[in-house]
Amino acid sequence: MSEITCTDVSKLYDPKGNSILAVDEVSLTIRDGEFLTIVGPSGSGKSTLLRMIAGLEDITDGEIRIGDRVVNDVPPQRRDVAMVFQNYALYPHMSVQKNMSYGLKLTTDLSTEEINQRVEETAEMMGIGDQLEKKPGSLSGGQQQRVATGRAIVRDPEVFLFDEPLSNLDAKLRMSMRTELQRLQEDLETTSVYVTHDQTEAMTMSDRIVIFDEGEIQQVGTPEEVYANPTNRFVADFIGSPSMNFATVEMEGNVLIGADFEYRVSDRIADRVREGDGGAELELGIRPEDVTVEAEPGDNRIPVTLDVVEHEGSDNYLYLVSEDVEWTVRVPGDRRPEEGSRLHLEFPESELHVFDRASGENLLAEETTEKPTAVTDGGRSAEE
Amino acid sequence: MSTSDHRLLDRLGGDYVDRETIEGLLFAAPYLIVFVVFLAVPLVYGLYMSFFEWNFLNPDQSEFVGLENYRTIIADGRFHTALLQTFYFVFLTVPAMTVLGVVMALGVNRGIKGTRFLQFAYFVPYVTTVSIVGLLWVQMYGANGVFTQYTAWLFGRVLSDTSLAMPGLALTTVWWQVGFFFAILLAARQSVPEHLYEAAKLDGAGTIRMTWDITIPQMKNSIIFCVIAGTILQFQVFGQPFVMTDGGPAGSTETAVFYLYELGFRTFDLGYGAAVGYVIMVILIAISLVNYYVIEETVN
Repeated sequence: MSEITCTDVSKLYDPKGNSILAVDEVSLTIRDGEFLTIVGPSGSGKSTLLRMIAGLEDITDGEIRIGDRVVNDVPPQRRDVAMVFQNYALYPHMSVQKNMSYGLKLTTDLSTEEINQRVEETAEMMGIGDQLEKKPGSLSGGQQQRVATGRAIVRDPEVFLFDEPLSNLDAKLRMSMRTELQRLQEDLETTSVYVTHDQTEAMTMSDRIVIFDEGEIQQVGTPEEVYANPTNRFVADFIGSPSMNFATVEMEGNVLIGADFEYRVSDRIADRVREGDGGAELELGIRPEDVTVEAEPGDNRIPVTLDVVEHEGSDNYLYLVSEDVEWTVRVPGDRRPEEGSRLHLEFPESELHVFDRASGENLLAEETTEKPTAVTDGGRSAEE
Repeated sequence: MSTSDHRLLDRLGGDYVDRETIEGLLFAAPYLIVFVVFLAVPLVYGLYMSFFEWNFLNPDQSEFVGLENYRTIIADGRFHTALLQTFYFVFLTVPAMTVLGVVMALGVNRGIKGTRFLQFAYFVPYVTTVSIVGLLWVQMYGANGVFTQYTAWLFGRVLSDTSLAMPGLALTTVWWQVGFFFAILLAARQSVPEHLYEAAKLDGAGTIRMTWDITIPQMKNSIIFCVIAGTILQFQVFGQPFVMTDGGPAGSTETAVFYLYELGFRTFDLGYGAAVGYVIMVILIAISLVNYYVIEETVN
């Protein structure tokens, strides 16, 4: 087990002179035994960072340490890391047994009997004990995933790296594998870095989450922190499903003025907004589950028209429109207002987020939750 | 569903199947016509001829000899030698071309400078005709011509030495056709997924290990294809001895198909030639079958 430290790590690709900065001066510490998830949209640079930790990509600038060792120039095979790939990368011509034992044969002095024993034990643990003689091609997607994970576990490495390992599975299997991976990691207590674009995976599995976009860290924190206290609009929008509602507003005195609504805030909130901003354009943000729908108009209520009702089992999602904003609201499954009806949205000030439209910064970031995140330097660097 | 519905469906289905069949036949027709006219008819006619002492000038007066021609083959030392020499030629060319093809493909795939030029250079001999290649190499081997002074020390007089002539033809053939193997094997190498190498790297494999444990097994099907296609192709070698040695010196480069040509077009012993042709065909079918089962075994 080891801590991983990235200091000002950058990756610059330079295909035929068109340089692309995939990772931009990222600083991050992954604690010993921690399950850290890097989440972000496609092309955000999250996989590149993972591959740099693995040694599959050169580091253009900065330093990566695994334990006490700087690994910038250490080849992948000497980093003592194991990786589970998105497409599993199982050797198609080798049996499951050989797939799992290959790394042990090359990197340890264990006898064949010892290797076989370890492989069998791990295979049993992964529920593929009876598949050892088969070739990967004859296994189901879920079984292949287990072999890939088993191949990583059997080596007992310092670090596990997961590159979207569940994205090729169907929804149900993905859910059960999620729990299984989580349990395995808790049992093994091996430092794990998990890359995904699926924010549900990130929220449910991780000790901490890193939200990544355009090669930069947007926020680092526990799932609860990043959900309740997003440091900027990107994080607020990316985390949470359905995502947060946004409406463009201006502030006059203590009132946030939108296209067809006004929302009065307390002095405390107004002062926070003024401190962080200077009267430029703002954006109000509120999560769908923090909004209630009322029939009658009133103070601080936003008039809307119900467009569509979507059933999600225990909940209903209401899609409502005001003059220039589409609102999503989550209500209990038994509540189903008539489509086209005129309604009014209400939400408590405590759940409100206000973003600077230009920088995207959440001006109430430290106000809305008790624990501030560890993000410094305008939300870019996240070294702890 | 009512009976009338069934009838409707049957009729529709029937029409559809008929149309499909007719379309399929039309697509296959051009090949089928060529196959029947140029292959099936001569094949059957050849079998018929092999039971006669064929009269080239007046086929009507050909004499039926039954299996006599085939009995002659059993005792025909020249044919046996030609067969052995053919196997020798296959043995000299196919393994060399396969190994060389793999090495060239792996080398070019490493992304060295001038890759495109190398690809072109390796492949260009293959699109040259056997007569050009043959004449070029006759000169290279120092029989006569402009290269003599440069190549004589290297090759001596290869084509006039009974023990060197066949290896000489083999070398020419390797140079000529290795580009085809190279093209197939390069494609095979390039289709090995990169993530397998990444997984192997993390598993602790170095370059040589990866070549043996990942690259070669992943290229296996293409390598087997090269060996089989190569064997079948080289077994039919004719052009090289025809252009370069005329089967000599002292018959040392006379191959099975060359001997067949001799019988058919130099001595006009067409009945016996047809029988020899049939034996060669049976041998080729046998090789193909063995190869087919070897592939089935290895692939599965």
